[in-house]
Amino acid sequence: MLIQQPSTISADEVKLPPSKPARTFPPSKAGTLFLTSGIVSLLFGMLFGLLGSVQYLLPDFLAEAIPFFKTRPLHVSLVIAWIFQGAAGSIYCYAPASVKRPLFSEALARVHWILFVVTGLGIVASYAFRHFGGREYLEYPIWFAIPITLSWCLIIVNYFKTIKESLSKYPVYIWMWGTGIIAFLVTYLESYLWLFNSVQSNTVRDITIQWKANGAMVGSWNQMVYGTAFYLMERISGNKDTSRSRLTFFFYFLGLTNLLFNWGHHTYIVPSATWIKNVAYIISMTELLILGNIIWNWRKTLTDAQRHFHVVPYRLLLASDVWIFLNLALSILISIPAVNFYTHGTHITVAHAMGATIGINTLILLASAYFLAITIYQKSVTSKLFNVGYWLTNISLLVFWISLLGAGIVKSLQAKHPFSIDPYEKYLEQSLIWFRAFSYSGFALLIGLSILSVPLLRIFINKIRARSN
Amino acid sequence: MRRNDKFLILLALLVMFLVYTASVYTRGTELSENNPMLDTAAIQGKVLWQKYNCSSCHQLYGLGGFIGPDLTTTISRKGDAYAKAIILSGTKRMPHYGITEQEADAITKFLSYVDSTAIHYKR
Ligand code: HEC
Ligand code: HEM
Repeated sequence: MLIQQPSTISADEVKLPPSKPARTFPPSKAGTLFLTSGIVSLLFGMLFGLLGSVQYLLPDFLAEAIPFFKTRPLHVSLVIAWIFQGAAGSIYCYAPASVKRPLFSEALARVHWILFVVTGLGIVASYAFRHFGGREYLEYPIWFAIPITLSWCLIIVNYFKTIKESLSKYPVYIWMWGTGIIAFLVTYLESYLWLFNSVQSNTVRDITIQWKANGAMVGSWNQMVYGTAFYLMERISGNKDTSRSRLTFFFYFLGLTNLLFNWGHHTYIVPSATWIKNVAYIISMTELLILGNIIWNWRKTLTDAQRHFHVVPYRLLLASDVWIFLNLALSILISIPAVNFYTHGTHITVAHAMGATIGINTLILLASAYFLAITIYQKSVTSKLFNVGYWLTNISLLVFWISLLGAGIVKSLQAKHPFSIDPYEKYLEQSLIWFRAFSYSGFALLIGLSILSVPLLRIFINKIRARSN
Repeated sequence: MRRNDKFLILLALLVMFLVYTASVYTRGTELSENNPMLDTAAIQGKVLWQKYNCSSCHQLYGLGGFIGPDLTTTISRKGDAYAKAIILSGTKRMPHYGITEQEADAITKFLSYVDSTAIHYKR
């Protein structure tokens, strides 16, 4: 895609030199457990995603046993659970080494993991038995929110007790992890405000708040994931200046401003206050600066790429950089009200959601998992297999993304306004070719991501076993 | 950037966020003629909408899954008898839930209510 592969990778095994801080602060076992269960969630989540995409083509396929109203929540909950587990696992593993202090409490981290996994299994079971909370994205029965909230409080305590001293002297990733952890709790609680009557009995308010909470919640996990990317880049390049520079902090605050105020671009079509939408529009456009910065840094990225291309985690970060660029360009485009009017509620939104959660979040978190496996645990992976997984993932994701955009454009062209697609059957027929491409490339994507993630699973499970003995 | 500067910026952002959040919760979505309160039947419909997870396939105001149509203005475009019939029977792509008449009425009331708030999108 970008760079020719240098000859250094021709050997069959890829191994990296040991890194010192890892020795002094061994990665938390709970962190490894989180990454392991995260990968399992990803694999199952993708299976349900694939099933959902097949049901676009064949509505009767498994329609009795696992109808779409089960496949979608199973898919979305499991893949989002992967992102949270990958992020929490990375934070537990890397925060101690970053601040040169041991994790405040490994036991607390394990309790967090157990609570998370047990709650997750409970949620899967409740979907299987058709018990839903029925709120978009958080489709499980509401009482699961209690263990989720409690378990999240554990990581808050653990993280802030670990970094202990004032945040101010620390690099940007320590800020980002902290911001993400707190922002998740706030937005998660906010997403349950509908339990109050003044929200539940006023749908416009309910939907406005739901978009506010969901939009910012995505920002919260992005902070955790991007923080991890900064940490990995620092460790790979050995350059400690970037994550402490003024410019980096400028972009951190810009990102935070977007997290707090840009969600309103989801509500252009909701009859709520106009000023919120104007604020959102202006703030969303500041992302152009982020886009500009990526282009500005492109040359440096290319030099870095030549230098670090043999480093497996780096290659995943490099690919995520390309995906950041593509998705950011798309996000900015669909944040323009006149465009949003036609694209909202089409598969362009799905392209935006999955493009970012796979191309950006998943690739960065896999980079993190590879860093743990190769650099810290000193295990090797087969480079040929990695290459196949890497290219299969990226190419199929591109086709996947374009096919969702294609289906979205077909719908946008038919819509008189965001809520009128008539007849719906006709739209489905016209988009069939795009949905086919979506499903086929989704299958290839599942294979690609499995090739990348299954070897990690083996390494982590062996490591966890070895440590328990 | 000096250490204190970072905290000042953070503090300023948080204060703005609190003020902004308080107004989002209360302003611009007040009950009015175009945004009436859900009555008991419509609330019951909303609860059923959640119980049956209709939003996994349908959107309201663009929020929800994408395999089925957005239902924000279905009632004004096609009428409540039509909506109720579909809810009761399902379609080729929509499951036949075995929903009762009374439940279908409540869900239709909820959809009518949502429709009545979508004042900008009447054909
Ligand atoms: C598995 C996906 C799925 C689920 C779950 C689902 N629907 Fe549907 N629904 C559809 C599809 C798809 C259509 C469009 C008609 C078609 O293609 O069969 C539709 C059509 C409709 C329509 C007619 C819309 C129009 O403009 O013609 C209404 C009303 C409706 N559904 C209400 C509901 C309600 C209420 C629920 C929950 C009890 C629900 N649906 C659950 C998929 C679903
Ligand atoms: C194996 C390949 C995958 C396939 C075939 C697939 C398929 C699907 C399908 C069918 C939907 C539902 C769309 C709808 O509402 O109609 C969906 C939604 C979603 N998927 Fe995937 N998916 C895959 C991988 C992933 C991965 C790896 C992630 C993230 C880690 C992901 C994140 C999401 C999200 C966040 C949504 C919700 C989108 C929205 O509501 O806008 N998917 N996916």
